[in-house]
Amino acid sequence: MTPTDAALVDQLARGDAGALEAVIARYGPRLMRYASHSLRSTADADEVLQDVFLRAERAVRRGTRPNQLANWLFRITVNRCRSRQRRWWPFVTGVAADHAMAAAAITPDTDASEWREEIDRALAMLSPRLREAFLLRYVEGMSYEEIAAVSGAGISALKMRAARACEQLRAQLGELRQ
Amino acid sequence: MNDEPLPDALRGVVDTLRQPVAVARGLEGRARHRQRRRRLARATGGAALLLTLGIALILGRDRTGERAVTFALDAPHGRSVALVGDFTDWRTDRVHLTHAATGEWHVTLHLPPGRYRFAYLVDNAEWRADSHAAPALDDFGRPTSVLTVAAR
Repeated sequence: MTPTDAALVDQLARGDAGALEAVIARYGPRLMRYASHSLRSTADADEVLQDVFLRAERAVRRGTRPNQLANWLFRITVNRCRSRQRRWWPFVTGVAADHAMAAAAITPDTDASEWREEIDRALAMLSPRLREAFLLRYVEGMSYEEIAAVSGAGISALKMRAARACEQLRAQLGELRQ
Repeated sequence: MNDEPLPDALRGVVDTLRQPVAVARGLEGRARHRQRRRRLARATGGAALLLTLGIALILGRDRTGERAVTFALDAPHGRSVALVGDFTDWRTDRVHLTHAATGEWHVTLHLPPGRYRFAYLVDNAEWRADSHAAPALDDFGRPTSVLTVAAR
């Protein structure tokens, strides 16, 4: 029987063997998708996720009991990605999309590869805040209330960021396709 | 502010971005390994810091009252010169002078105020007094010098 999130958190708190692995198996792929798109590097995203899960485990062992494990993990991930962007932003380049493609569970054909590169370039043109709002809203499918809880931003600001991100992406991809 | 649904033009973009991105196997193991390395680095860094502080304390210890005294001897043909005196317990292996290109040998010590007898031992054979210091004889009748370090 699949344990509930609350049961997983209890197992983590007790230090049960395999508890963290189970959390990673459940939420790792979603967090990895967000972090790799946000940082545009699977290598950086992998390091961020290492931090995220260890921090989560430490917090739970110290008594934290998240009401919603997924959103709580996303909050940590969003914050770690922000820190990483502040640290590495000038050095992150769009070529990291190659790593994301290599890690994706698909084998892209040439057209798909070019399409991904275009998307990556367009994402790279967004500011970190706009990219964050766009990814959480449309790729992860979160409600604005959830994004507000995860990111700490106001709902109004988030809507504006998501709308601007869409505008900029549309313009950017339109230019690239011309 | 608007709460528009995703524009049609971006549906393909989002579909592409929604494709799964696999977590490389062994994430927990890598995380634990990195955690251990960080702890080790912190521990090593802490030990290095303590060592540095210790050295700094030793080198920069409060030398209130101590004075730097430079001992110098002109012995251009000597192969080695040792400084021997009350402050070395008359041992010949504790303080060795450095040979400068000018032929002069020298060493600087920090000594607390007091009166000291000392001499130079050239090539581990010849006892020589310091011609600029007050002369004296040691207990065996060898030439020595007297140095008085005044209090500040």
